[in-house]
Amino acid sequence: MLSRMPLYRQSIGRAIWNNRSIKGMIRGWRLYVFILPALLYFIIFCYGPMYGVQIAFKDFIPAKGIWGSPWVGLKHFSMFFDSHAFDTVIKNTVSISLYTLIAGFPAPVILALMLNEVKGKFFKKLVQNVTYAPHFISMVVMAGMIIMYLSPNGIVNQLFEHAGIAKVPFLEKASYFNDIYVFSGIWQNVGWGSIIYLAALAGIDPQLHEAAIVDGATRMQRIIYINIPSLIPTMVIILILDAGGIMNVGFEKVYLLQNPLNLEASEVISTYVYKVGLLKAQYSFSAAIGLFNTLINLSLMLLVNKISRVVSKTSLW
Amino acid sequence: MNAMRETKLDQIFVAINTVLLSGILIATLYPLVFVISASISDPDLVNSGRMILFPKGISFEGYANVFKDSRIWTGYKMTIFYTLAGTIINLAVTIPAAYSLSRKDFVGKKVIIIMFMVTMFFSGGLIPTYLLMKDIGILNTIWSMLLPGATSVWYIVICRTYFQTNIPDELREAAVIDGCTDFRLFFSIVLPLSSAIIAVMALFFGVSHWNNYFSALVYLSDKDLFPLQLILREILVKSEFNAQMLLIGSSDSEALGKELRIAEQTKYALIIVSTLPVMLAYPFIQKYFVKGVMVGSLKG
Amino acid sequence: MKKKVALLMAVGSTMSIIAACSSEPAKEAEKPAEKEDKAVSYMNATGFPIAKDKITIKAMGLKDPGGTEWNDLELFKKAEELTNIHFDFQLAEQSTYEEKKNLALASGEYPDVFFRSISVNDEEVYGKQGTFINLKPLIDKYAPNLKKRMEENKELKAAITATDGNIYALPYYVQTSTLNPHVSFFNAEWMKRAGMTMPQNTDDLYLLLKAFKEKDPNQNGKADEIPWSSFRFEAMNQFILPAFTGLSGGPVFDVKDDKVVFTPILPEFKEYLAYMNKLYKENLIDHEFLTQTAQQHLAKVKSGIVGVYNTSPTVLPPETTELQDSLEPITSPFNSKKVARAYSPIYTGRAAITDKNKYPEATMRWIDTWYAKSDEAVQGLSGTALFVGMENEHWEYADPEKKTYKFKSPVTSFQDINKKVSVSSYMPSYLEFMPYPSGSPLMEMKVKGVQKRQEPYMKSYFPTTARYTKEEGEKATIIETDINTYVEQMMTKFITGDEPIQNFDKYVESLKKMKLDELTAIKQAIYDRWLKGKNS
Repeated sequence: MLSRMPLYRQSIGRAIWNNRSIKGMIRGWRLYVFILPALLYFIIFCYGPMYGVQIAFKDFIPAKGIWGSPWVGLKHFSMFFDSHAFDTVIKNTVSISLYTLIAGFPAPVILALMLNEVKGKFFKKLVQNVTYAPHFISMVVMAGMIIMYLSPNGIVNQLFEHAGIAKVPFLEKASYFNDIYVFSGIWQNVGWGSIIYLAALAGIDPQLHEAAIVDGATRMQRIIYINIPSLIPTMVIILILDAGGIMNVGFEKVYLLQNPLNLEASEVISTYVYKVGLLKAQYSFSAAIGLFNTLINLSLMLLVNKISRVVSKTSLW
Repeated sequence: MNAMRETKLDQIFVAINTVLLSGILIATLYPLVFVISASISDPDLVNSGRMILFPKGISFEGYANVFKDSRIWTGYKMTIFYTLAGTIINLAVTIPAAYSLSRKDFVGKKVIIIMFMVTMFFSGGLIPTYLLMKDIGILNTIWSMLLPGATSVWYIVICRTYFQTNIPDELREAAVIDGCTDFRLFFSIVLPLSSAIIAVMALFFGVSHWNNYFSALVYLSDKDLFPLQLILREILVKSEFNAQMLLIGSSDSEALGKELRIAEQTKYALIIVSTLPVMLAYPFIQKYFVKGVMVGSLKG
Repeated sequence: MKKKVALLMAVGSTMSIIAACSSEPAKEAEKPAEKEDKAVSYMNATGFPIAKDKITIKAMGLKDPGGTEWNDLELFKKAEELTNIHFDFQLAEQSTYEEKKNLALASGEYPDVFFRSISVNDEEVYGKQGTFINLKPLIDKYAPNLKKRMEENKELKAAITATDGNIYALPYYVQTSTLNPHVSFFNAEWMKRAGMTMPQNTDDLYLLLKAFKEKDPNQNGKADEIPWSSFRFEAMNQFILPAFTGLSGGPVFDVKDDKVVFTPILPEFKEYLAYMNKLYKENLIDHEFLTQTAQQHLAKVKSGIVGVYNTSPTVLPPETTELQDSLEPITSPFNSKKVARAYSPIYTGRAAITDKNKYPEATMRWIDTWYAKSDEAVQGLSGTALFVGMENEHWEYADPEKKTYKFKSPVTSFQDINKKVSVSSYMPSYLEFMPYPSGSPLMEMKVKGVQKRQEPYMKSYFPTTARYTKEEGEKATIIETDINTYVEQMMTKFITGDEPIQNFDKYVESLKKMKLDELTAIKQAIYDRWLKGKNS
């Protein structure tokens, strides 16, 4: 983008005028018009309030405003790092996140690929609509249902009994918590997540498939050699974006599924912050932890982005 | 596909595929039917595990509770408005931006995308945002529901990926040769080819507007502007509160039983009431997942 | 690339700094100017009406879900007539209110007075800033009812005094027969059928639960009885733990002879855990008590398979009423005092006056109306009226001894009161109302159960209204969160047997490593401060 010639070898004016980038900008001015609304949006609504990030480094006193509150540097961060719960909380958050990412990422892709192979329109629409419905069930009801179904006398264990398998104490062992959390999440979101992939699959040139059939390819082969490659750019981008949200294990679902028996696996950053906040409302403390989260998210995303740029030539920028 | 006979291998594949999908269908369908049944069943039977699939101890008090509140209709009205207006704004902001970013010749796109991405991670928080809204003067107006969510980096990026994959550069070159401006290129060629992604974006944005209650909670105080979700939450909290009040001071265990029942059923009924419209919308959007008549036009 | 990012951030921050500079909230609150002359002129220092000419005061308040606008309520309308003060209420419901309150304060756009839901933290922060004004001088001059209540009850004063010695928010005092929490109700019919009597100590309880399990007291031929079921630990902490420790606070900090102790490390606590483990092993307590939802527990109780339960007996069908009774506190080999938990009747943070209020004296006088006892009531307005309506208008005594009351039509229940008459709880007021609703054997049993079986043994615990200073609070909060979590986890493990009780000492050591002693010292400090406030 930048001119290769060192600037001190030319007069600055000539440099700017001849610069390829400036020419490109002028020629493509319409593209800037397209992006103007979004640009304005981000500047006003995102960068405008961004000074609030410093709350994490201050002792926020509302009457003094953010600028007037005293600066305390890394105090909140060290309070968090020194707390006894720190290790457990980080471990749980990271393990749940990674698990969700690894197990939850392929599921919508697979579902989309499977649905794409269905010929019957009615069946296809039926499965699509049914699988995307759970996304809309509120978390409160969802958690209540999970607890009911996995209770010792709940439907899952009842089925096990009928089948002659021993009952499983799902809710009582910390070791099951991650599985329950992740798989119920997959159940709830696989349909919704597959929508974007279905749209991508709909964009594949049918001539490619026709040519492959003529060449004698089986469905499986067509999936592997046509469908999946066409999904790769979308998949990679979504993977990178997901990596950027890795530390964001949401509060509501975990809190509702927590019980004294699974605490050692179920106490995550967001529930911890909530409990601290119950004892003493702290804007600054939660802001600090939020920032800490963010930095980890950011680092991981940059890492995944770099890897994918090398491996698949697709990346965020 | 044309009527080509499937090979034996493919027939087995289709059979397995169908069986698996049916399994997924049933596994997903069960809890949905459960929610519908629970919204009209006796909660004691539900909570003790005695209602498994079909409703037992049927009563419609939950639904009556939800619909007797006249604000529900203003809620629906406002939510439909926010969803339509909001989605139009979203599309107008997001799609063109994503297109610009997908163009290889867009100067400064790296800088811009990084600038966008920064906002995904660093945010000032609620208080500065609230102060901003106050200073702009849009507190307690419809704009406070429509503007703060005008777009999202996530969706811009996904949209951009779609354009990069499905709108080949040759199209742009052909347009330049024809003397076509970016505007005409975008509106007459690119958009029609992108019906799939536009449909998906409309769905994503639409649903997020439909479910949004937090903005309303913070920025709105005029009840006439409240969206459905906020009103539904108030209804739910009210019935739980009534049950609590009765529990404390009641001499009437029948009334208490009724309130408890209403509170439980309302929980489930709310899901149906608030999501049925969205569920009905999806089949319409699905139509647009059809490939545009496109790439063939280039090969000539 | 890095340079570009840096440049971008610099530009971004500069822009946001510029943006921010234009949106600063009000700076330091100004000390209110001397208002002595004004006070005399616009209002009457005693008697009614309060304001000579009608004045309007802006207020934010927490509205009950589905509740009516306060100015449409009978009692508030009456109060306005009597006092000549009109309130401009901005009400919001629970979830909304917290956010709105915080944002109002943070943005400098707050009203003259806040009603309900003011946390101790709010008081300390905004009081120090001057946003909430010091109410002490106002109480002294213009709140005779509240002043009397504070003299009658020293704890009231201690509860509302902030760490700097001032008072920034007003309390709610509530003593009724019906608001006492329910714990340890059980099916007395089962007890009779099993041939047993009211258990007096932990051994008796064990035998009773065993009999419930083995003797099929619900007589349906199936061994489906759950002798003891509850939702989490609350019931056992409240009922069984005191039998061992003689303290009523539960597994937290408590007070013994003015010295602060941490119950979960006491040797008696170890015995409690061993006992509970025994009950758990023998299936005398519902193994699902740790995992089930409150609704699941309720459903179990209603289906008639639970012996001792953790909810109000009023949820059961009326035919079963005579069969329910309340367990009396029990003793153990380690403690011979019967102890029941006495809940604090004091709630702080019900009203705060801000520095924007032009008529703080009148506001205080208006609020003071609700601290009047029934015999001090002016035109029937008192704390009791706020709770249940005005006597003979909305309710009347149902028996000559004034033990029961009933609502007068068109009012039939608390729901009606909340809809048309008043905001029945958690307002700044004084409520002492012991009669219970007549015509309900269930309610009567519940009230009598509590009176007979729990009141004689009530013992208070660590004062919930004792306050941290800012520095104490910062240190204590994190330690306390961690310790509470750990205690809950270990309690669970000891009771289910996942952790053998022999490891109790190791667990105590871990707690000490988590800075328990430091926390205990802080708690002692705030207790001493509270004690001083009470006795001053």
